[in-house]
Amino acid sequence: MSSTVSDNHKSAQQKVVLIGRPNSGKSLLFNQLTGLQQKVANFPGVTVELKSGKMKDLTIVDFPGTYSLHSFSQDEQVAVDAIYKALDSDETSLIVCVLDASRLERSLVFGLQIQALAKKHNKGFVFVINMIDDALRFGHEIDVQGLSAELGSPVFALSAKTLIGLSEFQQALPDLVEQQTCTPQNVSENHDEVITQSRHLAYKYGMNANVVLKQQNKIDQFLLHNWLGGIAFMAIMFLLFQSIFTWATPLMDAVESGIGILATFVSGALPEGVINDFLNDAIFGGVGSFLVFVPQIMVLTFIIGLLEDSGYLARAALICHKPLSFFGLSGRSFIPYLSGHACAIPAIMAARTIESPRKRLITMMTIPLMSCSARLPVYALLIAVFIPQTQYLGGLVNTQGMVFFGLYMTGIMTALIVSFVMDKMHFADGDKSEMPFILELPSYRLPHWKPLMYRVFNSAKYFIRRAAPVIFMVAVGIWFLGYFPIHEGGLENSYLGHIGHFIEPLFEPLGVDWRYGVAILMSFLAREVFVGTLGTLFGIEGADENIAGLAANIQNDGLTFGAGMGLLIFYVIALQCVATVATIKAETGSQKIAWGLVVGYGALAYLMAFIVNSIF
Amino acid sequence: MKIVLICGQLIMLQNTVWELPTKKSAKIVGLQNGLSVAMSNRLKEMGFCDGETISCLKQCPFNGPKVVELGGAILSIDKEIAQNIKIKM
Ligand SMILES: Nc1nc2c(ncn2[C@@H]2O[C@H](COP(=O)(O)OP(=O)(O)OP(=O)(O)O)[C@@H](O)[C@H]2O)c(=O)[nH]1
Ligand SMILES: [Mg+2]
Repeated sequence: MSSTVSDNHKSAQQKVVLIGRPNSGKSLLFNQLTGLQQKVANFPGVTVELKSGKMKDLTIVDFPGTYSLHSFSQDEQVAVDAIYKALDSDETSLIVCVLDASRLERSLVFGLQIQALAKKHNKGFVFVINMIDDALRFGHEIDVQGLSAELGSPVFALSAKTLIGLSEFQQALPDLVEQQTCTPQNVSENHDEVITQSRHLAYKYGMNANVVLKQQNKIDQFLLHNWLGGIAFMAIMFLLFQSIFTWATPLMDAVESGIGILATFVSGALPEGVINDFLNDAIFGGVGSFLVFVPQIMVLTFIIGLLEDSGYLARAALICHKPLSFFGLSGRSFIPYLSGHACAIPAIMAARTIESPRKRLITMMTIPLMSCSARLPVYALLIAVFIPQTQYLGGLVNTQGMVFFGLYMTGIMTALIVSFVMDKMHFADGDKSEMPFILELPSYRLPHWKPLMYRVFNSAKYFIRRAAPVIFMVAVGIWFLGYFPIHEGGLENSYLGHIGHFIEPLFEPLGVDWRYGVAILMSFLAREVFVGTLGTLFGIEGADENIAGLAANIQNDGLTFGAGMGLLIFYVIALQCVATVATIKAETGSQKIAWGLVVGYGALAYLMAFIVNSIF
Repeated sequence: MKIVLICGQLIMLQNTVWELPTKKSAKIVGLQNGLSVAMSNRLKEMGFCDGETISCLKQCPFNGPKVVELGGAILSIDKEIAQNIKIKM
């Protein structure tokens, strides 16, 4: 009896590790096996950390992609070390090497190296030829048996996307883990021999690459064209930022009126008094005004997801390499910068794929200047207050969308200038090891709809879950301080009013009164709190009326144009996110850098807001 | 192939991928000697091996990266790397 228990215990510990070249589909396979949702995207270097999940009683581990066991940069060394550690570990019982059917030769070079290592460490080993759907599309069937005989290891051909062959592999996995017989036989460790052998095997069993490439090259001829490609790049970026505003507007209006109807209904059903006021001001005014922005987050995630799946991002990185080099960055900084527009935290992690440590550091330090989705509510609110909605070209371009685009550009330009200054100041020059730029361009692919939609809804869930509790607590706190001791005395005579007047001098140079000052200070907890706080404050002031849109309230209140623009600039630059600070600290290993950025960007934001307010 | 006369000695400067014009192909004949071991291993693993055919698909303006096709893959490499891969046109 006791032996069965320990057997079960042992098999729960058994690990199956997925190793392979970047972009070979390891993470998608991992997701299919475990039901988890690791990030999958069509460019090399998506996964930067080990991730494990369960399939029945096996533990599956997804690895960052590596081109080789001969590491080349510091961070590649981390991934390679992880492979060696997995090989040494007793828990690892099977190595799965994922190959790309359409790029067999390249995948095999690394595959054979891993195979040799697996043999040395006496581990079970199996090849998975992924993306078999791509090969089949071009009418190529891979002779799995023949290849398996030549390689001396089991070979499975499958597609993690269309799921062909996946169930066979899934069923075989437990047996492969148990058997020790799949330890490979004839393997060579000589580097040049490995290369010759993989060339030979790819020639014999692989598909003719020209067919695939022809299709790619046609698209590239346009998208990488000297000036057409540049125009296409600009157009894509413009549409990206513009559509966050235009596409989401109808959805936002719908959410807003939904909340309005709910608020009217609830306050009609309840007797007048403190509770009714509380629900109206703090809940519908405070928390509700922030929910309005969920559709924008979803649209942003959708478009970034489309771009990531398409294979275009690697091209964009290439187009940007030269211009970014001028600012002391690399083409590889492009993808972290872009994903920083959704959220800085994964973007800072993604900067690990930048070869040169120095460029990586500069990239990480400037990512917080990308306008992440937490700023969206602030931007959208203030734009709705100050910029009239005018449309041109049949709705394709509108003024509010243009200002939106301008704010994103301001963030990017500031980041480039800061990078340039750091580069010229020879910041972190100790890390002189400049790495050359090699980037493999993936095949263009159509988006994978199901995971994309999942990601879109997940982003909304994450956005709400992260900010809603903070906003709720701040809204409740602000409401109590603002409503008491005597509600009839108005906001000025509340507890909050007294505190507010105390901090007012700090915000006077920016042209805003203490209510905005409180909202700004509160937004150091999370940027969205700015909107929630103002929603609550205006709710208290206009307690008797129906809830009008917050934008309309601010408009009637008479915030000056200059102050509004200053606030916008302030939010573009300021680093107000505890989680980002923690991530920078973890990734750079320096507390000084992380808090230095908070202070530096804070001061710069204040100064710029002051200047803008004085000019307008 | 260029032939240069320096200090009375004949030095042959081999062509490199950097000189390969767009839409032209050539055979790789080796890597420059000065390369670090890690670097030359990596380049070989990425397919820059003797005898492979390499073709240039694009040269980005202002000495930007080159886009090359090699062994069924499309790669983008910058000047530093391109100058270290010797070819025979
Ligand atoms: N057509 C097709 N596409 C696939 C298949 N498997 C993965 N992909 C796509 O290939 C791309 C790369 O997939 P990932 O799972 O992110 O690759 P990865 O090996 O984890 O990459 P890194 O994390 O960078 O090492 C994505 O766009 C996937 O949608 C497949 O079987 N068929
Ligand atoms: Mg991955």
